[in-house]
Amino acid sequence: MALARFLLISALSMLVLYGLSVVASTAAYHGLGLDHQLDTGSRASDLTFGALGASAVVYNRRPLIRNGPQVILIGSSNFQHYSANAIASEMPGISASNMAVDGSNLEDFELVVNLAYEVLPALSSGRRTFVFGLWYGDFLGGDGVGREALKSELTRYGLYRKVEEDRAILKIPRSTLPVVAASLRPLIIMQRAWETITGVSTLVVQDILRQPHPPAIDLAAQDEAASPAEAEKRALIERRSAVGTRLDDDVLAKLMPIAKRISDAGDRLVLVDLPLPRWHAEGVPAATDYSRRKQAYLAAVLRMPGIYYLDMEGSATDEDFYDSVHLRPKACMGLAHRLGRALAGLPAPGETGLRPLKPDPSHS
Amino acid sequence: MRSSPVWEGLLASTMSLTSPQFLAFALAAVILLRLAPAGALRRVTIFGLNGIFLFSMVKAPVQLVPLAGFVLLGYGAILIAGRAKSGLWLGILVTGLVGIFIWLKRYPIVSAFPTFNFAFTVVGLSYILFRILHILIDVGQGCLRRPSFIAYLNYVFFFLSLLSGPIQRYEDFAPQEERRPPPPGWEEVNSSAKRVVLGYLMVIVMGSATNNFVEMAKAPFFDALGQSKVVFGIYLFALLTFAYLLNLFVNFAGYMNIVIGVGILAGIVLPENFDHPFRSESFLDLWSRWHITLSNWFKSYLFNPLLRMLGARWGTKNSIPYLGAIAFYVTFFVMALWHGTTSIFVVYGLFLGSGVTVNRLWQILMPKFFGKSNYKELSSRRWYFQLSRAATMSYLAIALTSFWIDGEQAAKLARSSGPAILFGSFLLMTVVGAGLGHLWEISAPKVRDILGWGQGGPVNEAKTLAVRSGTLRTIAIPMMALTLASAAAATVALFASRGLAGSSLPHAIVTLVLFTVTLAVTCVAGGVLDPPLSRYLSSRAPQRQADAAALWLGVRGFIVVSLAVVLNSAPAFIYQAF
Repeated sequence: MALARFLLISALSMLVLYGLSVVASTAAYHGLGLDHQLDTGSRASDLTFGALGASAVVYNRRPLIRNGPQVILIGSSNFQHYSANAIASEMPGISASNMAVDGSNLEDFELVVNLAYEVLPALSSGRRTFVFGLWYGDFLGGDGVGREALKSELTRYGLYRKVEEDRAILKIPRSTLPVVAASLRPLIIMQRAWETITGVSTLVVQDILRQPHPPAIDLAAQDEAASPAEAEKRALIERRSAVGTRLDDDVLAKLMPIAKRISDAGDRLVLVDLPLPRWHAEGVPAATDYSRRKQAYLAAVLRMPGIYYLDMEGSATDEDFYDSVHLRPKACMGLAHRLGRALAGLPAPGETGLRPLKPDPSHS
Repeated sequence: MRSSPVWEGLLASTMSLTSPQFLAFALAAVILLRLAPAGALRRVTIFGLNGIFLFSMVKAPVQLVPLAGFVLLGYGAILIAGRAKSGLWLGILVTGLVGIFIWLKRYPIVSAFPTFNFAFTVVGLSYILFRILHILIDVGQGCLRRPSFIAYLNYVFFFLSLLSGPIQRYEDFAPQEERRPPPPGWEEVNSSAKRVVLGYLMVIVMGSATNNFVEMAKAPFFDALGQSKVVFGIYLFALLTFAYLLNLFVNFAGYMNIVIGVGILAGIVLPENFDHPFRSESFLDLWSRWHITLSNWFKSYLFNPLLRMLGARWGTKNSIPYLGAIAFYVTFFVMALWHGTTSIFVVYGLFLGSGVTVNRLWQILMPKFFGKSNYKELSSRRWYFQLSRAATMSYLAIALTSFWIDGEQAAKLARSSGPAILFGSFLLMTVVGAGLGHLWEISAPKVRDILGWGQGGPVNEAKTLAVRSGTLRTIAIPMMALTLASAAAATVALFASRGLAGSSLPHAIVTLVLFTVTLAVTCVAGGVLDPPLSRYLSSRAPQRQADAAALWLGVRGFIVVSLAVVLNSAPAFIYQAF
């Protein structure tokens, strides 16, 4: 029967093509080193999973499945380019992953911690160090780009079922997650390509419609990009001040249960205060509110076993930033090494304490 | 936008047309309908498929009660009309059904009337009304035998045409519903499956791209309107309206490609609803090319009876053409009102009515002023055709504004610089459209020849066959041409605008390559390489043509299904097995 034969051959050729694309994408992931490292700020991750990082933390968690000691960075876009490789190079025998998601805040960190624990082997309990990159923006609350991206990625291919507005449940056995994620790679790459095209098309359309838009500065151009002009600084301070002048107490309170979960698991959590340009830190009311209240608030969290604090606020100059919050790649690499060295010197699990990190004079 | 029946059908459904669920359902339907023997079992199969499709539209069966009630009342009306055989009764029944339709659709004029106190669906009701009225009127006038109840339900609720048509006549549907079709040849399977693939590509890729553009362009346009920037407003409005016209076309025609393709595979041929509308010579010609089955329905059940009535009252040899213009106005005004429930569709009606009437009057008066032969000669000029075609599509694009603006925005458009922007955009689109049309006419044969489509005229066809058949050049040249054209288009899009301003060189190159590949792959999925490939295969392996075509369809299907999954996401049913 022509119909049956025709449809069967078509369906088989589709399946074979999909199979070949799974093989090709697996080879590409292996070549880019993505199957053994999760680093949302790396070029390889950007190329395949997207610059936001949400897709990588949902679909590339295989590198977390190892029994040895590991460091897991969690934060938003200003923590994404703290290279996992740079940190690992300062900590021999320890692997590092960066799960920072662009546009996320403290409420989303909880989700990312949950995603990590979903795949972390029980045997390695007590050998993991979570590192939260903090700034005042993490405590302002509200649904950011990161939240939307994470929610969308969780349910995009049906791996998770949304049960509440901010809660999703894994529908497949945890053990099958790496295999299923590997089988989705061709779609993820296609999605990435489509997002790139959509993003650039949007800029093209904005030009056609003569709408102003910021230039599309990619990673390679960030070292050379000019620092914000005075007018841009004023506009940013105005915009940030309009969002809120005080930190959201509800969001502040979220840190405690996340820290407790990590502490209860016997793991360590390091809270790192990230640097901001001085004009930004001093000009935005919420930033000064954060500086004023953090010591008192963090002190309560730091009483739990395994929770530490590193102050890197003053470890960069205004020229190290290419915009209002993001460090230039070279400066970021330097700070990543410093962070690695600081993490290598942490006390053993069980000890507590507030450990400010002084600005390193050797940093250029 | 959502108040139009087209959108109502395409967007309101839970088993959306582009969902993997629909694909799985369509495949099951094709297999079942090909296997079902003639007669009762086939009828029951269609009934079951319609039921599954209909119930997939709602969360609880109770939501279907008003729709089911309407269809039952429709059958009751048909029973009465079949027995009474009276014009008066027929008039009462038609008026009654239209009244209930208006009430169920919650048109503003019935907003004071109470409605059901539970959420209910009217999915497909607009098209159901046409099918019921067609049977009611034809049975009432003795032109059609009353169908059995199950045949009636199968016709009214037929899953492929339930949401957005096409509006098939019962006489065409009935024999196909009853008889098992002969087994299809591979060419038929190939062409209809390719049509489904193309339909998906139109809806998913082109539909979303044009929709994004429309959504992005609205705010700047209304800003320009508010600031009385007439020239910029003309430019934006022309872009916006044309993008919306394209959006509507690719979504609606893509939808038709899918349902008609699935229908042929399942052995039920649905009528065509589009016939190259962008080749329309005039606004009247457009309606024999755009939403054809709707135009035919209105022609049969409103225009013809109205013209007969007007003719009987005022008809003379000289007046009949003018009465035709009036009948056109009324028909298109009512047709426009059917498209939506808000008052803005009255404006759409005025646009459509005026368009067809002016067109008709032009056809009547121009030969009188210029003389028949002069007018005929004028009409045959290429520039006249290009201008006429561009003016037709520009006018339609502007008329369709009613689909994407609300009352408040329409009021803004009617004030201050709005009319100047409307008129300016019409002129701009007409002149640019005519120019581009002319350019395409000159270059199309060459493009076809390069791509190996074999429609560049007999000389080119012979040359193409002689030089390329059976050689790899048959495919290689079109592939290279496609890649170069895609690269050129991507370069113009990215560098002529400031889309890559601020990017480093490697990033710009990667983006350019990505754009080029995507454009080329999309064209391949759309079937651009099919003619040369088919020619190559037929000369190299004539005995394996069917298998090769199936394999190639798999390649195109793979691209489109992947895009569908990426853009629509969540093939969740795959994981239900765990």
